[in-house]
Amino acid sequence: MNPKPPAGSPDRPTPPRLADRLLEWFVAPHRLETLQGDLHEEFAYQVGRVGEQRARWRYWREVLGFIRPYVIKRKSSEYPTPTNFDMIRNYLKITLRQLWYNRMVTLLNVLGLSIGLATCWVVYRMASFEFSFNTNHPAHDRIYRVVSRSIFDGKESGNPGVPIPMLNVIRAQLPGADLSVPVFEQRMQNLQVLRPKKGIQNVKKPKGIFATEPDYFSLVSNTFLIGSAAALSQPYQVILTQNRATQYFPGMSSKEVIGQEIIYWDTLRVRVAGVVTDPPINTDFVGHEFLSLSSMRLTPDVSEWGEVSATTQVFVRLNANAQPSAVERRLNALAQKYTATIHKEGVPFTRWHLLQPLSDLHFDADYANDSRTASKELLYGLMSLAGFILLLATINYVNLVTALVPQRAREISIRKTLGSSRWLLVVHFLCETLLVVSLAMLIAFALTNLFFTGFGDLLPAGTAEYTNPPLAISFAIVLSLVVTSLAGIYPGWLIARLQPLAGLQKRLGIGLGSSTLTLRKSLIVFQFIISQTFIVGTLLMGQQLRFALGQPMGFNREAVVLARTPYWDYKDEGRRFVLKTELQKLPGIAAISLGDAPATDYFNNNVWSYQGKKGKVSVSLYRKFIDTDYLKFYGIPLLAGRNVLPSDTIREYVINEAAAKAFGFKQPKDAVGKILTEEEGASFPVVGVVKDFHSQSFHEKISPTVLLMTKSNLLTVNIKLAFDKPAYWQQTLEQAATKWKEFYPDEPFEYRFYDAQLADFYQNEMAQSRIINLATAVSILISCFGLFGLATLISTQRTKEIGVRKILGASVASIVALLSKDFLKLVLVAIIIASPIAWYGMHQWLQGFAYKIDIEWWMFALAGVLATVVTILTVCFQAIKAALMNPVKSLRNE
Amino acid sequence: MKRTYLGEFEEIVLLMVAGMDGEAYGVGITHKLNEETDRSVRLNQVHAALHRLQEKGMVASRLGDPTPERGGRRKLLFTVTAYGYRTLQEIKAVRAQLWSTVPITPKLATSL
Repeated sequence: MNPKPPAGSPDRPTPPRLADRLLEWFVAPHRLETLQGDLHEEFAYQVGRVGEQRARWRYWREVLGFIRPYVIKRKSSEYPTPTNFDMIRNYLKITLRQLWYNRMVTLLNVLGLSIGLATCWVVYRMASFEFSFNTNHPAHDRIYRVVSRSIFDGKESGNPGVPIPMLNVIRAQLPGADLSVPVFEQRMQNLQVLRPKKGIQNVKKPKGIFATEPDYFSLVSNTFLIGSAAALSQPYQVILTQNRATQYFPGMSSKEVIGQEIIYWDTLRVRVAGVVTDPPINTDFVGHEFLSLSSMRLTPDVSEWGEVSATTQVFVRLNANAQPSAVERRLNALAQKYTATIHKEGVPFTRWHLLQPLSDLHFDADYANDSRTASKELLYGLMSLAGFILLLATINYVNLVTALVPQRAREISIRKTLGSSRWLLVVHFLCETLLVVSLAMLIAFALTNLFFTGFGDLLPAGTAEYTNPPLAISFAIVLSLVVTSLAGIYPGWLIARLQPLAGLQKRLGIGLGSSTLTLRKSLIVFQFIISQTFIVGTLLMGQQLRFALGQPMGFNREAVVLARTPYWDYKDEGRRFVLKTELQKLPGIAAISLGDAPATDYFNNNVWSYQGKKGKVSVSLYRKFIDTDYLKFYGIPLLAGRNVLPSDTIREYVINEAAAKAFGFKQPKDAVGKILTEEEGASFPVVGVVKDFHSQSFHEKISPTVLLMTKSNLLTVNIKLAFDKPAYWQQTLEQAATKWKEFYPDEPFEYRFYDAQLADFYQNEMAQSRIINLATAVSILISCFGLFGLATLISTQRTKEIGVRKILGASVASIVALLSKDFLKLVLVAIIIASPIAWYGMHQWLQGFAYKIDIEWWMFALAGVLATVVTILTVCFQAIKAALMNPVKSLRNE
Repeated sequence: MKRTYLGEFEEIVLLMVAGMDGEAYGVGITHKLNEETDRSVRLNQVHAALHRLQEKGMVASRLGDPTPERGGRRKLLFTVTAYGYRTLQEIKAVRAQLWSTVPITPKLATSL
């Protein structure tokens, strides 16, 4: 309150100022005057009665005594004073009404956006999983794998391993690496677990066994449950993961497992010295048994510098200040020095080494060995695919909401007239968008789960299990905000720009201008360009895959089943030939042959040379081992000469046409009788030439091939089932399995139909094709949502016009044409723009195939017709509905 | 019929308001109470009672004139309402009724 006006004598005592201040602060304004007046009057009275000092005390007591709810409580105003909360509630209410009023558009928007968001979410799950690989290692940015690259026979290839002696050289002579860890994979057919009281337990083909040293555990994230890494410095020690420990010793605690014994290779008896946690799902370090390297008694000889095996890998951890490139140079210099001693003969062979960062381990297929690698290109491709689909959904939102702006013009104009700022209107609109996006996000989560159950096999194993909540939450938030701003900015700006006067007078067409229409049109065109490209992609990929799977490969493959005999049996070829005769006796088996299947995903090659009149011709040939029945079995025709004769070792060659051409023979028969010399090997005559057949997938050209007979190399049993009786195949295969057991009691009869195996060549392409099919379906769906919504809005906005037209004699057909025409024009423009883009993309994709279909114009025409039909179907529904409307009704509604 | 409850202190304050005939206000009532009932009543207690009475509709308030010792602030003057007056009368009647049943020389408890 105001200071006191001068009253009475100037030296009149005044109440304590502080108490007065306090009073003024807490008392409700409407009570303050009278209350303070009473207090002051009382004070003046008390000064006269008990003196100033005590009056002041009393004053304080009185003031404090007034601290009561009714005194403090402010009088509620006669007019409401809206708080932020009230306004937000109001906005929310308006928004919900708006969304409900235009529920069809809302539904289309939410559905479209949720599909787009779900696509993004699935790709996010996949990408976050793949990129998380090997990131949980301590100091993972300083860890490198030493890998090898070599050029052999003109082909450059990578190998994740290094020569064994390199480990010691790195340790002794490579500054910069503060840790070097051998990770030598051990493979075996069988191992024996000595279970207490239960005797010996055999384990078949155990996986994940590595010989290593204690330092391994400072490289990875596994932690010790019991025991310590130091145990690995002693020979005959093994450390198991928890999983492996329970597998080998069920029902035993980690403590009890310590000291148990395992026998490797029937002779190496080792003791369990520790148990570690299982490797996480997102690591390529998938070891489960860690054998101390010293148990292996490796005494690397200098000659081993010449050998590189994928199973002998070395990891190094560099010093914090070491330069990887410098370390690499030094490493190569060292390797050169040692390799030079054993490669004096001038063999055309070069090898060098690289440091592969841990972050590349999961992505570089060149050094994949057995571990699964992910392709960064594929991931980026999927990301852009998801981005495109989300963009389609966002375009829908923009288009539909912009089309709704005229309907909302009155509300916006009133808000503006009442003083709402542009900024506030935009924010309001963005919040509305955020609400829709959030709703779509919720549905997207449900859709994602559906996808995981329905298409889980398209995703790498472990994707569904991998979670990273902080990253996921921030991604979801960022995604929602980005979509909200992309979708909401333009309509928001449009709203902010709206002239209130025009809005209130309903002169909207003028108010919004024609730029909106052009933008909407270009957005639709853009949408259909994407859909059209996808459609062409789907068609072409399907064509090519059908071609690759259905095209004759130069040999018969119907009803062929392949089974591999165990490789440890390679010396005992007699057993295989007895097996062959035994199987031949089964009634359901039409033919049988031993030898490498004609087309395989592995290959085996060497260089042969021919000394002709014009000089020496050297050709790298694919080598396939066959028996005498092979050509007949696969129906590969001989063009000249004869089949191979039975033989234990190589005595003669049969080559294919491509090989004959490569050696320079004009006619197949010219090659017969000519002598070929194998690189560093013997010379034998060509006895026959066969017609070309595909020895690899259609990605590769037919390569020059040599067929030869060596009994010991015939490892695959090719079985042709009686072609006319598919019903008995299963029975025959069971009989074959029984026979197999007589020969290999410990080996399962693992067979595969050759057709299925050939289809595996195109696994990548099939996965790509499935992804593109899905993307096509989704993009068409979303684009149609948008078209449908727009068609509906436009036909309602043009209700009157249609009514007038009908009265003036327009037919239903002409009105449908009128309404559909605009959209069709846009789709046609999109088809014209999309075709070259799709052509270029598919042309690139087909470059991966040596044998491919031609891209023909009818594919684009078909795709165009498809898009047009879909458009017509979508638009017509609304157009016909509008055209059939009774003009009396549409014109009366005023 | 719902009877409004009046506390003893409220009743006295209401009586004071009625007795001061439209000129009752916080300080006035306090002083008069202190003089006449030999109690030591404080201003905030009186204010609270007046607030409750007003809530119950037994007094009405209006603004009075400012005085110098109040620093030029106006008084909040209270007048008893018809409802308040009737309540007072009812209480008085009940008391009188009860008094009429008390014998002239009632038996008094002898021990403490």
